[in-house]
Amino acid sequence: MSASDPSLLLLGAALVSATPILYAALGELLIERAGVLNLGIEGTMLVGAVAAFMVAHGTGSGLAGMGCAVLAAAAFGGLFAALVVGLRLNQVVTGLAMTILGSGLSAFLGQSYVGLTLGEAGAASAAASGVYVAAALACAVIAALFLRHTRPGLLLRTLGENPAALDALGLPVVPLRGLYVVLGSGLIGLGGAFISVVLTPSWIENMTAGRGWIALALVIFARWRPLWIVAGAILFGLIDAYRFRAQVGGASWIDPHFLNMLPYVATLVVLGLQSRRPAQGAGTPTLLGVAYDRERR
Amino acid sequence: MNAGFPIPLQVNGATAPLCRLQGVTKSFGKLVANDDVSFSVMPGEVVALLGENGAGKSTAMNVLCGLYLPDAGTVEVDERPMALGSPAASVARGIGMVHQQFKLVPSLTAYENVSLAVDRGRVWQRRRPSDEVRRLMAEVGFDLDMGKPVWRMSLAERQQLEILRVLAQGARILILDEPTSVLSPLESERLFMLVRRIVARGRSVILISHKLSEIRQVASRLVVMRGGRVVFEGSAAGRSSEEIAGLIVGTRSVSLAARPASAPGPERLVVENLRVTGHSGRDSVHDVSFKVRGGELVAVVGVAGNGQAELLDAIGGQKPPSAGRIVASGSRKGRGFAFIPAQHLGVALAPGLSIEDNALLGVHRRKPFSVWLRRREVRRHCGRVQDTFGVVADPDSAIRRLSGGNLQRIVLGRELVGDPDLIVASYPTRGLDIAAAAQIRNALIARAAAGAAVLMASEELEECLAIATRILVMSGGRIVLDRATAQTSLNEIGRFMTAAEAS
Repeated sequence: MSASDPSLLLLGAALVSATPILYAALGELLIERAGVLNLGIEGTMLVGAVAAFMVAHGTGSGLAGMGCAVLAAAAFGGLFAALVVGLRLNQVVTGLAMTILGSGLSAFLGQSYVGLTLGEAGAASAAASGVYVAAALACAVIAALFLRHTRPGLLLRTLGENPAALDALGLPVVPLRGLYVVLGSGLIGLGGAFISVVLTPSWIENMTAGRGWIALALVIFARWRPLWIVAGAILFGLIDAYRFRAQVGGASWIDPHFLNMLPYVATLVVLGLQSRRPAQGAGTPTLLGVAYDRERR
Repeated sequence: MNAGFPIPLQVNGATAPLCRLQGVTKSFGKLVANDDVSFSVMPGEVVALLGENGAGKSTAMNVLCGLYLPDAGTVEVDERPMALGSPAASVARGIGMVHQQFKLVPSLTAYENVSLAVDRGRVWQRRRPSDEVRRLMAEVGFDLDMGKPVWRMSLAERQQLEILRVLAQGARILILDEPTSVLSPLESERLFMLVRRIVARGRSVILISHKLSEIRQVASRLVVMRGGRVVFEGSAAGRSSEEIAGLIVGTRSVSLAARPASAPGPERLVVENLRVTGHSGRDSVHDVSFKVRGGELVAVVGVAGNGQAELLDAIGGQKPPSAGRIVASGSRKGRGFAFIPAQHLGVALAPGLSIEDNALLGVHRRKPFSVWLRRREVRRHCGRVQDTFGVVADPDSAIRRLSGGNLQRIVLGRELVGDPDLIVASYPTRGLDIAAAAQIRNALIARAAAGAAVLMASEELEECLAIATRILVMSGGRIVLDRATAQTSLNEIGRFMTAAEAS
């Protein structure tokens, strides 16, 4: 690879900036396929980001930071699961509250870390960034195979389509949903950790800067299919990389603020196109956002 | 799947029950849905579980298949107690239920749905049915395309798939909840042949149904529930429909008014070349023309999904027609025209509002209500609506708490206020028990006799033959038969209902 080729550089930069969104969107995909609408992505990413930075700064190991971010975000997701799957609270309201909670919690925990950098750990992680990028792509492929070709994947698809069917067969709906919320949250946390440890090895309040919302839009854009999420994330990453270069280089024929808006425009266009299609047979979980209550009459 | 339990060789004359409910009690809040329910099922028999809406049949069956945890009582299978409130335990002990609302996943293929039940412990998902499933299909005589997604299957196919799935799980007690409500007479006939094949192997079937003729046809024993209790348990042999109906409703008498004498009045509804396009872009109603005159009670029948519901929805203004003309005497707002949609909660009624507010919906513009809802007038109006069919309930309570029968009584009571000239009712007796259905039918007959034009859709052919003056049969979105009831027969109607399938 010739490092000086500008288009290759742009693609590389796009892949790197696509990675946090890719992790977050894959995590959200697992959660939504299980029938739970998680609007707390942004908060979960921030929890992951701050946990990763604190541990990486303390131990000097970027990998340890990433690992702890997954655990912290999974625990955060466990709280969400307990509220919406266990207690059947409203998923939209609870998810928004989780975003605000995650933002506040991460700002509180990270206040003494503002302005610090990771030094060695950050440099080592930056070198290893290729591994994290490749791992994200691998996750997408695994998720696609899992959904399509395995029995647990079939159960996951059913979980969002018709949980009552699983329940009648004697399969545990509530624990399974909880499991996927926790797993998915862990992946989302990894996305956040990638930002604070690899992308910009530092901690700034609300440093995810709306990437959680982009991930949420991306899941819909991809119609709940993992490989389409890869395509979408790279597209968003390209826009991001181009925007960054335009801002730095100064010479751009498109206003960067306009480019900022593009991902959302793309999502609205895709949603608009989807409305014409029959809902059946698509990946859309029919009972997304509906808590399962067996004795409801 | 089928291994692991002995199939009794001796079917008749077996003495040990396959399954026994003992003292099952289950309440939802203040409502006692099951009160000390006990009965047993012998191997190789078809038990008909009978009762009106809200008699507790579904609750008892949900206890049996583990979906509800009873407050008290036990269930024994093979004379050993079964863990309650656990669908997994019920499945493991051989209880399988085909719910009225099928528990299939529409976006998955037929086989994937069966696979959910049988391929436990596998990691990689199979694409083709296992030999075991194929053997079972041959045994019960199913010919299903297992690669087809469920949403593209007909209701009869879905039902077969559901039965196949339950049997593949190793069910020895098969519970069928109103299985024929989605089937044509021919399909019902096939289902009963299947039921006989299933019980011939020592399995048992519990059949929930409101249709007395089919109960007499297949059931060997009757269990009748009323008000959450079992009031009768005994052999079905030699019982007439009247006798069974008497057991179900108890001491109350159910009489049916005679069909209105046809003295055709003026045309009240004219439908010309009507076409309705469905979701998928296919026409669900094809070029349909007919007229309904005052004094007529016209019934639209057909296998579910052949355009009857869409036709009535179009006439009622729920679905815009893509071509054609509908001329109705009176307008919905002006109340010359009453429309009773098939779904009461959500379409005809707002579930969260009080009975009083629901009784007012649609008539709120008329005097004496005007812009300010005068509450005293509203209360008086609600009283009239409730009294029309004798609904006893607090007008301030949320309407969703009422039973299905009472919901329909409120809708009809509201729509029939002011004696409309034209009544269009989509499945007005669907899911209602004998007494409630008879009351609704009598009201429609009375309105037709008084000179109104009545058009109704129904899935109960015997009901239509008893009360309608004319019958329209729909198949594939077209009217394939339009005949006075006196000049047709159940056989002929059944033949026309399935005409499109045969050709």
